[in-house]
Amino acid sequence: MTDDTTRRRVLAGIVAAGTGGLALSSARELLDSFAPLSGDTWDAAGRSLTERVESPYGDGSLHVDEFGVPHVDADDEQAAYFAVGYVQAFDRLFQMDLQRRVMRGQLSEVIGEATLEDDEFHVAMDFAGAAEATWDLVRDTRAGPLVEAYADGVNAAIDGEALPLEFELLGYEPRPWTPVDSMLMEKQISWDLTGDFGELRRALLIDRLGEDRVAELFPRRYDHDYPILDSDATASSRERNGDAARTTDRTPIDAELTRYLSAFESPTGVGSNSWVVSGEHTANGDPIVAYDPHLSLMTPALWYEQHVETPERSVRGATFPGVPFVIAGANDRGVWSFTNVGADVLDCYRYETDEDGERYRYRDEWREFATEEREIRVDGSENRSLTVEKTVHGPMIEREGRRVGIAWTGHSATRTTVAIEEFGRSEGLDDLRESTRKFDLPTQNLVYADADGRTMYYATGKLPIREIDGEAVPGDQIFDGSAGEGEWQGFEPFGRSSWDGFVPFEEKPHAIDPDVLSTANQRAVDDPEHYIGVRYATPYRGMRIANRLDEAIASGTTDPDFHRALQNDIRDGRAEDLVPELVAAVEGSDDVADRLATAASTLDEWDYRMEPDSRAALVFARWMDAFRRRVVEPTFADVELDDSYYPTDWVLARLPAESTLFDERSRAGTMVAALTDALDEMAAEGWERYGDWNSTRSITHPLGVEAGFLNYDTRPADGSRATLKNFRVDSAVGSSWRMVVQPGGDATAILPGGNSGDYFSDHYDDQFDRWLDNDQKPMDLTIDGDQRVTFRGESS
Amino acid sequence: MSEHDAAGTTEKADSADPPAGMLRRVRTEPRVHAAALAVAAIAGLVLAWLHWIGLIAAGALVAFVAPSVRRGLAYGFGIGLLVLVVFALSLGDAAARVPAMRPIVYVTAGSALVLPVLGSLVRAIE
Repeated sequence: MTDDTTRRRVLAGIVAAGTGGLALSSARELLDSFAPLSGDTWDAAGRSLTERVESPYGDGSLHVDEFGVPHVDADDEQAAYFAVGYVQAFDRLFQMDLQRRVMRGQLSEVIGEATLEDDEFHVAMDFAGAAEATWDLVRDTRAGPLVEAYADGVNAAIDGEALPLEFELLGYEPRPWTPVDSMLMEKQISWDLTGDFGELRRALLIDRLGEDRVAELFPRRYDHDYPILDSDATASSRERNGDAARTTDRTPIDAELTRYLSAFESPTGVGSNSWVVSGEHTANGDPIVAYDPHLSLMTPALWYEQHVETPERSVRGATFPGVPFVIAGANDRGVWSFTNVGADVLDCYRYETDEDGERYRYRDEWREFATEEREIRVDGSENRSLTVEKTVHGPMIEREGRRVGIAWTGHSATRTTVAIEEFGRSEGLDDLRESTRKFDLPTQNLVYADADGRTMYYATGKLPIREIDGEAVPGDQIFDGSAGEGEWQGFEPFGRSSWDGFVPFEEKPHAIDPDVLSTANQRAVDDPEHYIGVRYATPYRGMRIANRLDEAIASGTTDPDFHRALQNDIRDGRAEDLVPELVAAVEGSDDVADRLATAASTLDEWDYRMEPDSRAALVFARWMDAFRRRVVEPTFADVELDDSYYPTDWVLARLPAESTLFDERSRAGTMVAALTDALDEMAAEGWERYGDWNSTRSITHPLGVEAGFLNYDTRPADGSRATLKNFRVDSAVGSSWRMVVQPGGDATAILPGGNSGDYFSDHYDDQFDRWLDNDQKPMDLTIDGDQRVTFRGESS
Repeated sequence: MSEHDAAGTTEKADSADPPAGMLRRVRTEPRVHAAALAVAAIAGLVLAWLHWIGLIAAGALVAFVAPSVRRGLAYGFGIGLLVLVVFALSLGDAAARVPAMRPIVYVTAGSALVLPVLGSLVRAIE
């Protein structure tokens, strides 16, 4: 009996201690979230749209097709955009919330201290202030009420639908969406495309390497004959190209501050392809536009496809979640696309400050910095306070006592939202060109074609003109803000700009009715009338597109299949440049190891296509990086410049054997040594084929480290950073959307992943494999799929 | 007193104070036992749906009607499996995504299988 009693007591103790222990320990949180049936996480599983939703803007319907693309139909535009907000939030709410948190500097509130540095930058830049100024401008336009209806739709979904999984995992709920949040999305896109501190890096490079070496390694203009526009395509003159005048003070700002700011620039490799051929060169006589923007590849996909039908518009295409209107796409009259210009719309200033650092000299007077105290909330730690400082030019960024002033066109109120709203209901080229005047930011190569057979190229965005002593100067230098050097006339940060001192619309690079035109982030024109910028892509893609289009047109007409196949082109121009020389270097070496000879033989037989099954592609890709390292690292490491400062592959391929970077080494010998490095690496990592290394493993979800299941499955990928089918495994940048459209006719597109951000949805990743193959799906202007939601107006 | 469990083995009735009346019938008469077990399982599922402590309670409930401690533990494990089946059915098509949700799914499956067994230990306390 005593044993029995003891046994019972022990068992009772086990049950009580087990239950109590779970309830009182951190295990409780796990069980609250993930226990079967009761776990909060499972509220996010099996979400489905509510069939009937009350709308304050009137009736509408939402169909969802077999790829999860929403088709919104309404008689009233506000009713339509209420529905758009609703379905975007249902599909992508976490992504929307995360992006506005990034731009507002509110990540740490839900992530913790790990994102504090990121938040400090975004708060100091006051992107939110710029978005508020933009909304003050946009709200009084035709787009304003539509943006408000969109925000109401988002909030109706927040209130009426289960939240996506990520909110359950992080344990927070989103705040209501506002029109300013949608303006913030415009700022984010623009920042990702034009946020560039190249002048700071260039000043540091000149300081560390000397002017001659920088000129050799970082030319302000690549040596090629493939600009977007032929020299006679614009009425250009060289009167104001401003290459001569420079600021007198060339000293760098500070290496650490430069490093800090560089971390917030565009991801490496951001760029895009687009081209248009007129009906003269197509089988059915209608023009064709092909487009694939190379932006961040992520889970879920960066872009969101939507289709909106109202009496005013019939438009379908891609937008960024949080933006109401189709950004790149087609309506019943035309098709439009954007690639990055590489224009310089950000300047940096140094100032003379007083001893206390509270005032700065501006021309003939001392001014106090405009300051504002902001609090950054930090999950699991103390909140931080930050003093936001501004000058007449824009925000002042300070890091450990070092300061730099910044002017960015996006810090002013911009009308891009107004422009893209108008694009969706444009009636043809003339209509769209007028709307393009309002496309203040970002600076993009707009490629357009309409159903009347007309075509157009226009550089969008405001281009600043800088002057020193009355002479136009380029913007890739640090200006003396105290002297008023280089400042932009008509620019009002955090207010409404007149843009009076900027490049007039008519003087920006453009071409009306071009026959064949392609853009791949190379310079727009050889001799621009005004300084545009220096951050152009290497011309490998531009050359390849132009040459293949020329070949195709010379031999006949093209059809959409040809252009989809061209988007799939994986021939690497770097290999054409370098492989014959590498093979010759190995063959010319004494006592070369068998494995080197074998590798050289493999490369010699290769067709330069970056295919997943190719061993030669793997050898070349790993050799390229090894060669770059071998050539550059000794010199750069000596002056404490890391690989983020390395010159491009184009420069490396043309680096003469007598370059000082080779020092005592020969170019051929360095090539062979790099091949040894590459083969050693491949052996150590166990890589046999290109796809073993070049995979989609880097396309991750923001929570993918902790919850790896949210990432798309890893697949071998083709393409490289230099191929048309663009994929950069290191930085997860590549073709983030592909479309091929004949205005009013054949239209197809594909996303890298799926249209839904809901992990449990069939459309989370249903386009991923098709995207790898560029097997595009239809993008017709027909209402397709099952009706999922009926929006009922209050009077219905 | 002894009885045969489902596996045909003989085990000692484990209570020092043999259950009397209704409880004894519940544990020994097949039809009454089956009905009671069904009621306990449904009640357990409802509790598990409300809170994870309901998983422990579910184990305790089904074990309570078990004729023996060992059977009680088996019932506890069984209700855990039932919880997982009902859980999968409740998710519909989304259930197919759950097995890949590592490490979350370890907590889900582990709690379903362990907590009811923990609860079923109460059968040995009476």
